Amino acid sequence: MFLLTDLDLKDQAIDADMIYTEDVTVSPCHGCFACWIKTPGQCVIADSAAQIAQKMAQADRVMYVTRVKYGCYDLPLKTVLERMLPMQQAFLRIHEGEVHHVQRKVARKQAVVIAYGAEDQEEKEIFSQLIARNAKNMNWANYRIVFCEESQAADRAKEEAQTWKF
Amino acid sequence: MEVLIVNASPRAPISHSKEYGRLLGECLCKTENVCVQHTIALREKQVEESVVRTQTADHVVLVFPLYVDSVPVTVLSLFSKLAQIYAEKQAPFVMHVVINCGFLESYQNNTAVSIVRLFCKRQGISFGSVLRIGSGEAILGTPFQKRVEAALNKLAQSIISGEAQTYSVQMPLPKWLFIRAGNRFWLKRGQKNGLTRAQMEAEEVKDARQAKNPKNTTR
Repeated sequence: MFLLTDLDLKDQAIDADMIYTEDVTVSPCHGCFACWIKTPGQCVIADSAAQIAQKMAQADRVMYVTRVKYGCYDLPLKTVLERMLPMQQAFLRIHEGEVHHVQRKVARKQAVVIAYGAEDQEEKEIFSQLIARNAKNMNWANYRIVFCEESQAADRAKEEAQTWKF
Repeated sequence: MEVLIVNASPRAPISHSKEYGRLLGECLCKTENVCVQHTIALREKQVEESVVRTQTADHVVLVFPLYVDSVPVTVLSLFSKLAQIYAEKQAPFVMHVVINCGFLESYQNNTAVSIVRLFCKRQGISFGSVLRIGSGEAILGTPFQKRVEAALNKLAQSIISGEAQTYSVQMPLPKWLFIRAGNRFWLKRGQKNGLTRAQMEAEEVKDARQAKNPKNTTR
C-alpha cells in the first residue's frame, strides 16, 4: 500500500510505503508538458515528485490523508498530486463516456481518502465530487472517502490500513 | 468601474489563460467607464500585488486552468492571501471565474467552480459569473475561437450589468473527432522535439535523477 499524507503518521505503525509531504521536496508543476512531449513519462524537475509518481503508478492500493480546504485538497497534497502528470500520456481517449488522457503503466487501484477538516456538508460534497473525478484520471477501480476531524485522522488511517491486511 | 483580471495559471506568462484574460479585457473595454487591469498570480510578489489591487477593484475575474480536476495550487495560494487580508474587512469586489480545461467537456470544470464559490462564501466575497471553457487547450486559433469570444463577450456584459450567469463553451465536435484532432496536435508537438508516437506512448514513469537518456528508453 502506498500512503501519501500531510499529517505525520510515522509513529502510527502503519504497514505502508509512506510519504509524508513535510519530508519531501516537491516544487509546483510548471505546466510545461515536457513529461508528455519532450521526455515522456519523466518530469523535468529533479525532485522527490518523480519517485512519488513511480510509487503511485505501481501501487494497487493507495491512501491519501489530507486536510480539506474549500472542498479541495489543501496545498501540501495538491502540490504533490499536480506533479503526477507523468503518469498520463498526452494522448486522449474516451473513458466512462468522457474525454480523458491515456494512462501509462498505472496499476488499477483501490483507494481510501482520509479527509479531515471539512467544515460542513457542502464542503464534503464538493470534495466528494473532486475525488469522483480524480478516480477517473488516476485509474481507481473503487474508493472510499472517510471524513473526520483532524484529531481522528491518524486513527482512521490506521484502521483503514489494518482492513487492507489479508 | 474597475475590473481586475487575475491570471492564476501556473504557466501565467505563456498560458492560454493569458489569452482568455486579454480577450475578456477587450470585451470589457468596449463599455465606457470600465477600467481593466491585469495581474498574474504566480510568484509570491505577484500574488501580493494581485491581492493589493483587489482592494480598489469592483470586480475580480480569476482566470485559470483546471489542474487535477480542481483549482491549481496558484489559486489556493491566492486564496490564502485573500483570506488573510479580508479576514477583518469586507471585500469590495465581486468575484468571477473563467476556467479552461483540455478535455472536451466544459462541465469537467464544475468542481473547480464549486471550490471558488465556497471560498467566496466563507470569506464573505460576492460571487458573480462563470465561464467554463472545454477544449481550452485547443480552441484558440481555430475557427471555433469565435465561440469563445462570443462567450467572453456575454460574460463581460454580465459583469457590467451585475447579473450573475454561468456560461459554457467548447468545440462543437463529437468526442471521437475531438480525440483524433487532439492526438494529432500532441503528436506534432512531440515530433517537433524529435519523438515518435511510440516514444510518447512510453509506459514507464521515470525519475529524472535516474534516467540519463530518456529518448533511448521509451520504445
